Amino acid sequence: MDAFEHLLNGFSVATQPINLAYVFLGCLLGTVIGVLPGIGPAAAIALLLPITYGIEPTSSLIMLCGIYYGAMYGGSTTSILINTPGESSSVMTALDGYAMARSGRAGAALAISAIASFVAGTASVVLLSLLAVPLAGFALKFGPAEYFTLMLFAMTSVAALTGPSLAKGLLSMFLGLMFATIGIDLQSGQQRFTFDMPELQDGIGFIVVVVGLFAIAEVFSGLEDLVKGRSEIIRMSGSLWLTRDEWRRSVMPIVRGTGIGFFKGVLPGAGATIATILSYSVERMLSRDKAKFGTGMIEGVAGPEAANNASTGGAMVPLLTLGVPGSGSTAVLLAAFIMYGLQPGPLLFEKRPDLVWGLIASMYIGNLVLLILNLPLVGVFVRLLYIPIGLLLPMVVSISAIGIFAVNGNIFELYVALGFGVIGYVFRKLAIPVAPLVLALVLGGMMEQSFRQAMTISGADPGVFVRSTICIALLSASALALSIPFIAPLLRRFAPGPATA
Amino acid sequence: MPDARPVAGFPMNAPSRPVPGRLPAVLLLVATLVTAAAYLRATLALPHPELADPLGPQIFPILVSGGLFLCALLMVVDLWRTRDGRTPVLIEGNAPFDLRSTMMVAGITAWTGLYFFVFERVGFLLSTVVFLLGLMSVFNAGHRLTNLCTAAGFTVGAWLLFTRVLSVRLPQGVLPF
Repeated sequence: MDAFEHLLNGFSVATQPINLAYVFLGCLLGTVIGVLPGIGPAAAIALLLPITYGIEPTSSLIMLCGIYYGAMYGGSTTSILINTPGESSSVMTALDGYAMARSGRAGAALAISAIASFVAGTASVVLLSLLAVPLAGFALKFGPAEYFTLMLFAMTSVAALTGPSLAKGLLSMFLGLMFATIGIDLQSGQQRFTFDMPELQDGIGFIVVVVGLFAIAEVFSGLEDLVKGRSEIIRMSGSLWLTRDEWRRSVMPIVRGTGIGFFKGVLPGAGATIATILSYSVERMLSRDKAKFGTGMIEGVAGPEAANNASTGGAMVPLLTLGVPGSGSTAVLLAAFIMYGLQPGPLLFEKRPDLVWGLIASMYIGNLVLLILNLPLVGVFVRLLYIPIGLLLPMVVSISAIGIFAVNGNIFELYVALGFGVIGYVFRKLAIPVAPLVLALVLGGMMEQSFRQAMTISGADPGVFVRSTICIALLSASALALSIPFIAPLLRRFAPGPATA
Repeated sequence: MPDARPVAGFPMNAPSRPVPGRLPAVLLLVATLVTAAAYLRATLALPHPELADPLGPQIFPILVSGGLFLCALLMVVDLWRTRDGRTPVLIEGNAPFDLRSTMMVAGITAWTGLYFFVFERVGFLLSTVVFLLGLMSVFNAGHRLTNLCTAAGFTVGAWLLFTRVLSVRLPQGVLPF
């Protein structure tokens, strides 16, 4: 069966009335949460996980994916109207989007953001559909050593490429691995670092960490910002329709942004943020009005927004075909899969094609739903920004408490989440990225098992990690990723002219 | 635009003392070293089962603690490279640490910790209304009725949604329902 037939079967699953309802609900909730300042896709998925309990896994994952790309859509609204990106991938949108809003073109900025997101999101799902089968087939060649090096590559790239310092990225990654070792060792049955606390025997719950790091930490930062009076909301103004000139100027940035976003999304670590930076830099480089970037150029919104949303489709490629997420948000999605007893990867394509292809097909529908929701209803979503932060953020804490308590009914996990909230706040203050920690926490257990299985098979010979071409390629890629923070400043020194963006 | 000005009770015209630039980086280095050493010590104290796999449960944590020491080394290099202050050690995510913000976050943490402490004992409904009302009174000061209605409305709405619609169990506490 080829990809097209699989996709048709997927559409038969995704177009069932109940699944259509979950696509709609996921997109709506994702957009609403994405619009709320500071709450990004990872926190959105983690916070809304409790409402999926009791729902059939396919429908539930369809909804969670809708929340994921809905939140990516919604994040641009806060960038444009209050200059507060929901997450780092919306930072570039804020540069020209906020400037457009200040000059009375908020409607046009929001419209091009929705259109670029729709085009790029749909194109990236087409590419995902085409790449899924060959990549899943290739992934069947992976043994424990290959999986270990793949996870090492995913983690080191995220650690090296997110945040301003390699040391901080690696610190976040190793702390995540450290937390992942808490609990009962699966191979020996030995308790590790549990301090005789039965609550820690199963390890630290992933949802607990994500809610703490993303949602509770955001409450701390948001209330601090409120106290310091940083936020200024620009009221939506100007027509939602673009002028002929704006259309003409937006087409090619959307096309280029889609290509950049998808391929960067596929690579672990590079992800949406770097894709948007690259897209913005390319548009600025190609423009005849370089100096006007940052003052409200529509190309500076169209390109990064396309790159941002194309990367969501790209990020689903390694998650679904290899079972390895490349970002904090997809790591949360992986946790959701695991919560339902599903392990994404090549075997899932064989065992549950209905689920995988139903999910992929739902993304086509989801992108359309988001366009329909975002263009005419953007004015309604914008009203959410006028909810006083002092009312909104305390409610986020309560929703977090419900979400965590609903998993195991365990109060201890609430304290752990609060602790991770404090860690997340301190990380923000020290510019330590949290994505490597999240990724390492979710992959740490699998990584350790792969490492020990490979070593056991090889009779404790570390040479097993350089025996296959795949391993050598992945180790080389990891080394390259780790060397980028050292090489990039040298390259910048020799580059002609001022740095872009 | 309610968010455009500082909230009542937290006037920003009072002087705020940011922590000196390199101090957080030095403290982070020390914390990393302490964490790495404590983790290594705890790892080495783990018993090694005789009949388990040849590597045992210690090998991976040992590698992780080695990684933490490597991070500390990289931080020392960062500090050394920026000793003349040319390159900033910290690119702050939001704002530098300052005493007022730290105290405020400590206060919210304590209040949230108290909420979690009584969450099961008192029950979701009562604890959540009081928790929300407490925070809203500080961060949305001067809107007593709005705060009360929002806290009560949100709590009851969430309770109905999760317990009645989604069948999620929430602590009953002292209330009979």
